[in-house]
Formats: sequence, structure tokens, C-alpha cells
Amino acid sequence: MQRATVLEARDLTRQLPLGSQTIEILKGVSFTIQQGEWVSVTGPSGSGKSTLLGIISGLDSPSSGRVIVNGTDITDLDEDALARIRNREIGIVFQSFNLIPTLTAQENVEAPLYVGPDRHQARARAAAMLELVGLSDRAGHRPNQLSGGQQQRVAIARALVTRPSIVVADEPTGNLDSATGAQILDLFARLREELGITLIVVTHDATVAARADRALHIEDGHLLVGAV
Amino acid sequence: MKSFRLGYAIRSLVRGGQRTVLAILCIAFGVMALVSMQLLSAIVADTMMMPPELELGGDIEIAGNAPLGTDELARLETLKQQGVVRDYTLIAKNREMTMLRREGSGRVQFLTRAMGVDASTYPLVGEVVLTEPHGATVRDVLRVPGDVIVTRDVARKLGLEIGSPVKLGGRSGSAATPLRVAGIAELVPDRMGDSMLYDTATARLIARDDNFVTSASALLDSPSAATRVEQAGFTVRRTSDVKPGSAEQLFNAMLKGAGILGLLIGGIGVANTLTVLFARRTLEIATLKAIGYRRRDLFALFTLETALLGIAGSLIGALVGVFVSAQLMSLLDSTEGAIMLVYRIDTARLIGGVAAGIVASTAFGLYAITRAVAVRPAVLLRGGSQTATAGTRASGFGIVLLVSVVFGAISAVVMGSIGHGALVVAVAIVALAVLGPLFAALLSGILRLPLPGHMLHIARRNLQHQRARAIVAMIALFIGAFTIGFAAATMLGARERVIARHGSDAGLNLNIYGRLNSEPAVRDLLTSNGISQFEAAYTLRARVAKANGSALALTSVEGRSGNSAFSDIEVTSGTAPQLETEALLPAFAAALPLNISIGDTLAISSETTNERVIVSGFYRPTEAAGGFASNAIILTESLARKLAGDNLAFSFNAAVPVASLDQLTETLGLAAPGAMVVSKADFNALRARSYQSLFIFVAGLAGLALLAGAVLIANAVGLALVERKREIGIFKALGYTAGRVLTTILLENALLGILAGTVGILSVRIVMAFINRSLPQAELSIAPVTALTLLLLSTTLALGSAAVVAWRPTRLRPLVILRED
Repeated sequence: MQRATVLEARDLTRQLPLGSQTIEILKGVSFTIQQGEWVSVTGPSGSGKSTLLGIISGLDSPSSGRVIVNGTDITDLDEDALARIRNREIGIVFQSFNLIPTLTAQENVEAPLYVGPDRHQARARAAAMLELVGLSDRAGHRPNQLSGGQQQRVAIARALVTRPSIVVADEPTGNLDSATGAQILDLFARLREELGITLIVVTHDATVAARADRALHIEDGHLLVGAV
Repeated sequence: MKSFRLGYAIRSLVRGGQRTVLAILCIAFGVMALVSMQLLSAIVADTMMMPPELELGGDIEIAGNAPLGTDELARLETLKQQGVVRDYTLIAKNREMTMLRREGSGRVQFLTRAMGVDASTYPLVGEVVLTEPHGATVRDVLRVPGDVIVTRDVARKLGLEIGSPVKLGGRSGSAATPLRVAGIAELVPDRMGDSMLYDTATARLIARDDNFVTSASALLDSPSAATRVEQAGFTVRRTSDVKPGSAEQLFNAMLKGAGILGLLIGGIGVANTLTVLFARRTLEIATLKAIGYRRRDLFALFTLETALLGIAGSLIGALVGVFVSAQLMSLLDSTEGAIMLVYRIDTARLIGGVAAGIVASTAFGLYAITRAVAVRPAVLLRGGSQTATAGTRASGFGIVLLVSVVFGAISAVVMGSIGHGALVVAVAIVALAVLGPLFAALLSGILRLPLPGHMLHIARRNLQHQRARAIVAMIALFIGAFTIGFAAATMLGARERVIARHGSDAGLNLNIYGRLNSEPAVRDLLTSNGISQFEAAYTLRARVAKANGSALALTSVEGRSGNSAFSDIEVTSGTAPQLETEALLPAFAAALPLNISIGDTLAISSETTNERVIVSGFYRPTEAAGGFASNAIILTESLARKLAGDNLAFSFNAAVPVASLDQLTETLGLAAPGAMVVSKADFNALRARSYQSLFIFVAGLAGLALLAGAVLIANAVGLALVERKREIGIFKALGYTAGRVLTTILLENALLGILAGTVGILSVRIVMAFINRSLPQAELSIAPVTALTLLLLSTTLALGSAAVVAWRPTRLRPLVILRED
């Protein structure tokens, strides 16, 4: 059965200033991702993986090209509209977890709901999501009271609480030991199964990349493998 | 949602730690300055700009050309019976300098005012509040002739209590009247301190004249009745004639302006601190954006945080402001001859100050919030901070405009007019616009100089990276140094000039006033104490009129013996009186309105006789007269004795060695029967103390500016340490000791203090040179010692603030710092 296209990138380029020069990070990258896929984005350090992730998740804008998320061209959206996309369509998981240090695990997961339409259900939904990632007993703990693996699970819960169709993860196991990293990947697999989410994982780790359905390989700003 | 936002805001502030405390301190300082100045200006306004009725003692003040005689008092009573005047009270003001001596002490205290009142009717308006006996009225206390009420400052200076015997004396005729303290007043209607009140019977005793009433205060049923009083032959002063002095209004405006400028400095400190505080949370802000928070969501979150800061700082600042205003008031209250200030907390101004603090901190915080929410979430992927874009700069400029408008509105409310409020803001902007580039240029120049030593090099590099904060701190220190320097130049300089001009305690430095019946005993006392040479004058009160019958206000008459030159007067035209038919008048009598000429005839009437004299000349007091300058009509001694009979007072002026002046004053004062002994040294000290006290008050105010500088220095150092924590950790890991690291920080701030102090002193000299050029008689100057003290003060403040903030962080172990980061 043909699955719907949830993400389409068309001829993306991105330049960044570096002193007096301009560096071309991405040089015309195009690909599509179907619903429910687990796609890895791989490549050597400095290849443009994180830049690509930033563009497709609405954190950054391309210098040229188009990004279409669930049929919406997000390329030229203003900041408020992009924020809405990031809140409802795309969940983002970072290598450094990026939890709010002053909030508890429960409150970190609630946070995205307070700027969306479901604010009145924030507490219940966040609690449910924490249970889904196996951290109900740590709901009242602050990030500095959690292990690395626990913090990443909270970050995953936060990314999923608004029920986005796409989850983008930037080196999600980069700051974790191999055993904990494997647990996170198992969690991703389970959640994909249970929630039907589309996963896009940026990684330089072959073990992590191997868990995906397919890989997009970037080198020197070009997409070499996996455009389909 | 509300509890989420509130919880997030509170916990973020708590996590901010020292940065949060610094921000709270900044706004607390600003609100403290505003509230203290507002409360002080309210107290001063109550007193200095009181309703004119209080100054007049009623709707009008009624006077004549001379003391009100029996006929005039009868006419006044008729006006009351006719209903022209609703009520009136008689006043007998002692017009000359009055001296008060406590029994058992040989030293005198000078009073600003000694006044007889009709105890049955006084006061017509306002109140006399007695602390002792508590709750009593004037009528209760002034029952017996000789009983007096003194104001609390007089009681404090002389150690007086209820029942204390005192003696009141003056230069002419009111020598050493024994009195008893029957009441101590906390408040009198016109707030004048250094005062004594007594009833009319006592006033007659003191004046030794039945015509002792100098004026009356009256209540009218309609303003037009004042014209009928004038038509009855009286001189009338209406409430419309009483205008608050421009000096009082200016003083009040300056107090309020100082408060607003304090709030401005606090606001700048808040903006500074919050900018760094939010900069430290770049990743957190980017994360919130990444999960869908829009700019307005972040604005709401951070504005709440800033408002909470503002509430905390404003409440603390308001409490401290109440304390500071009380201290400043007591400094002002202690100035010699001061008005009686009554401390009260104006709740409306207190609440207004807190509200202004919250609004100002939120407004200034918007600048930091605008910069913070401009962060692009992409930094989460690349890390580091982003450069301000044109959009960020434009919105930053917009916020500066908004803050200016908000601050202008606060200023307008505080100053009581939009014009004045706008003026304060304009002055602040111009000052920043002038001082900012000036200090920036000076700092750049100094930082370019090759400085010896590695530590100085590091200090210089650090200053280059935090120019903006350094410049703001220097401006505050400069304002403090300039204000104190200028106050020292004017007030202390004036004090020195007064001392130089009059202050020599040599020459005619001992004055004794007494009644004729004690003259022989006093002469014996002087002789027995080795004083045989002195100038003698004999004083009496008389009615003096021109040949056409119009009475003169001059009522003090002196007889001087022989043709000997007197040190205290200099004949400017004509001759001193040689014959009993001649009189020498003070020089002002030749001018309007008296318009008397040499050769004019005057009629002098005492209780016992009338005499005619011809004006033989005019005189003026010499500098040697000091505060005891005569303004009496001078006759021969024989004529004075003829006029006064036994009702004559004497004044002896002697020159005694300065070394023994003090001891002689005390000895003679205790021993001389019924006489008042005054030393020139005491009078000079009184004058000097007036300027000294005023300087202390102004210095107290200017101290707020220096405190602002210290707060901003602490703010700048604290923020710099936050930013340079990693650098400090690395230096320590490389082997630098805590002492070395602290030294670089202290060197940076010493440089700021020296620069600000130096510019402050130079500015004072420039302004003084300009004033001296325009007003040569001003003779303003700043003593080298004062200049050096200011420089040391500015530098010490900067060093002290920096040391307090930097002490602990420079002592942290390098691993702790580097791991944390």
C-alpha cells in the first residue's frame, strides 16, 4: 500500500557566513519520506546532517529550495507559523536533551501543550506520556536528578506529547553509553509501532543507522544515497 | 497554565542566584532613591511651602510703622466688634538677635526667634504641639509671667527640661530676663525652629516698654475685609502676598529629580543584569522556541519574571527608602536655625514608589527580553550566541524609545507636571549622551596606553570587553563625585570665607549686655579679670518720629560716650554726635522709604521725656562688628541717660586674648549678675556650623549618587564574573592564584574609580571657573585636600564594591568552575 508522503525536500541549499567568506553547507538536497518510516541521516562530521535536520524541522530556513511537511510548504512561513508547525507537526529530540532545568520531568513534558489547543489536558497527557516512556516514578524530578538515559526519555516524551506525525532526533544517543543508547533506540522502535510516528534520526553511529528502514547519506553537502 | 508560568518564573529567578540578587539590588536602589526623595520632598513641602495662612498666623498679618500702640490696639478691637475682623491675636516679636542662657552655664545659645503671643487666642491657625507636657495647650502652659515654651531643638541643644531656669537677653534693653521653661514644643504653626514663645505679660517684661506689640494676625470672614483694615490705618499683609520662595521650589524639584535619576540608574542596572541573565539561557529559550513557543509566549513568560523581580526589589527599596528619608531628614533638621521638620510617611507616595519601581523594572527589562527572544532556535544545532540582526537592533531601538516614554510618564507623575517630567528625562538623556561618549573616549584613550605589567594588561583587555557596563558605572561615580565636590566648593568654601572675613576671634571679641543696675558689678568683675579697656554703649527703646509726626520703625537708641572711635561702626557721611542735640543714623535711613537727610529733625520719646535731635551723619557697621552690628540711632551718652532714666541697658565690647576668650566667657557668664556674655568665637562657630550642616545634608544626598556608582560597579563586576567564570577556571588551572585573579579585577575597577573621580573634580573646577568669571564675588574654589579626598572616595568605592562581589568566585577551585561550565 502506498503510504502518504509526510516530508518532501526539494533542492535544498544552505549557505552560512564564516568570517568574510560564505560556506556552502547543503548543495541541492532532495528527498521524500513516507509516513511511518524510520529514516537515518548519516554522514561524516561537517557533512551538513545537522543543518539538514534544522531545515526540515523548521528550526532553520534554507537559502533556496522548498520543504513541504504534510502537504504544507513551510519554506517561507513566518516565525509564528513555524512555531505552530514545530508544536503540532514535528517533535524534536536533541543530543544534549535540552530539558528546561528549572522544571520537573512532568512540567517539561507539559510545556509544549501550554501553547497549543490542548492546554487544559496538559497534566493528564504529560503523565500518560511519561508512563509510556516508563518514567512515571520520576515525574517530580528535575533534570539534574535524572540520569542521561532518563533525561533523553523525558525529551522523547516532550517531543511526542503534542502527537506530531514526525519526530526528528539529532544524535539522540550521542551523549549516552551504548547500553542506554540501545534502550533509547528500543523505545523509538516501540513508540513507532504504537503511535505510528515517522522517525528521522541524524547519526554518525552505524549501529544507530542500522536500526532504520533506510538511510540518507550526506557528504560534503550532497545527498549521495537514499533520495527516494 | 497560570501556575505553570508563575512556577517557571519563580524557579528561574531562584536559579539565577547572584544574577537575580544583583537585579533585585538594582531595582531596590532605584526605588530607595525615589521613595526617600519623595518622602523627603513631601516633608519639606509641608514645611517650606506651607499654606500662607500658617506663615501669616491667620488670613492677614496686621502691622504698623512702629510697635502697635494703645490707640492702634483700640482700633483693632473696634474692627472686631464691627465684624470686620472675625478674631485676632497679638504678637510681640523680638526684633534683634536674641540670646538664651541656661542657668548654671556661662554660654549663650542664639535663638532665631523669641515671640510673645496672646496665650488665650494663639494660634489662630495651625497648632502648637507640645511634647512636654504632653497634650497641653499654649493657654495651659503660659499661665504665669516668665513661663516660656521652647522648641525641641532649643531644648536639645541646651539640655532644657520643664522647670529649667533660663535667661533671655538681647543687645538692646532686653538684657538677661529670668524665665522658666514651662513647655517644649514639637511643632509650631509656621514650623520655625530655634524659637521661644511666651505670653504678652512676659513680652512686656522683656521689652520693658508698654508698647511691645509688633503685629497681630487676624481671621476675616471675607477677603475684602482686608481693605477695610487697611483703611483703618494698618499695614496689611495678605495671603496673596506670601509666595513660596523660588529657592524652596527649586530645592523640592531637585529632591524629586534626584529620586527619578536614582530610579533611572536602577533601571539601567536591571537592563544590564537581565541582558546577561537571559544570555545565559540562550539554549533554554531556543528549546522553548523549538517546542513551539512564539515570541509573544516568551514575552509573557519573561515579563512575568521581570515583574516579580520588580516587586521584590521595589518592596525592599521602599522599606530602605523610608529609613534613608528619616536619616536625611534628621541631617536637615540638625542644621542651625532650621525649620522644624515633622517626619511622616506619605502612604500614597510610598505605594506610588513601589508601583513606579515595578513599572520601571518591567520597562527596562523589556530591552533584555527583546534581545533574548530574538534568538533563533537553530543555535540548538550549532551552539553559541547569535549576532544581532538589523531587525533585532531596530526592535531594540524601539524598546529604548518605549522605555523613554514610560520613564517620562513616571517622571511627569513624580514631578507633578509633564514639562518637569520631560525636563528630567531630557537632562538624563543629554547627560548620558554627553558623558557616555566622553567616558568612552577617555577609556579608549587610556586602554591604548602601554601599561606595565602582565596583570594590568589583562585588566585592560577585560575592560575593553565590557566597555558599556564600565561606562555606565563611571557615569554614576562621576555624578556622585561632582555633586559632593561642588557642594564642598560652595558650602565649605563659603564657610571658610565667612571665617576668614569675620572669623578671626581677635579684636573686639567679648560682648556683655546687662541692665543699668548691674553695671557697677559688671565693671568690677571685668576689672578683677584684668579687663580695663572696653567700648561702652547704652541702649534703650524709644519712639522716633520725623518732624512731620510720621513714626519711624527705628526704635533702638544707643548712647555712646565721648568722641572716641568705636570699632564696630564707621561714619560714612557727616559726623558722630558731639552734642545732646545730635544723632547719628544707620546708613539705610538715608534711602527710601525713610529718606532722611543730614540736618533733619527727629523727635525721640521715651516713657519719661521727649527730646528733639538733628541728624548729624550716617554710619555703617564695620567688618569687626561681625554679627553684633548696630542698627540703632546713636546719641550722646548723656542724652541716652536722660531719655531712659533707669530703664537703660548697657553693652560693653572688649578685646581679650584669644587664648583666654573661652574661659573668660564662661567665668563672666556665670558670675555676671543679670548679664549676658557673648563670645565672638561662639558666634563665628554658629555661622560656620550653619554652612557645615548644610554641606553634610547635601553630601548625604550626593552620597546616593556615589552609592549608585557602587551598585553599578558591583553589578558590572558580578556580571563580568558570570561571563568570565570559565576564563577564571582556566587561569587557575594554569597556576594563577586567587590573589592574582582578584588583583586584575581590582585593577580594572580602580581604574574606573580614578577616572570617574578625576573627571568629576576637573568638572567642578571648570564649572567654578565659569561661575567665578560671571560672578567674581563668588570666589569659588576647591581645596586640594577636598579634591584628593573625593578621588580616594571614588576609587575606594569602586574597589570595595568589586572586592565584595569578586571575593568568593575567585576562590572557587578550578575543577568546580570548569565542570559546572
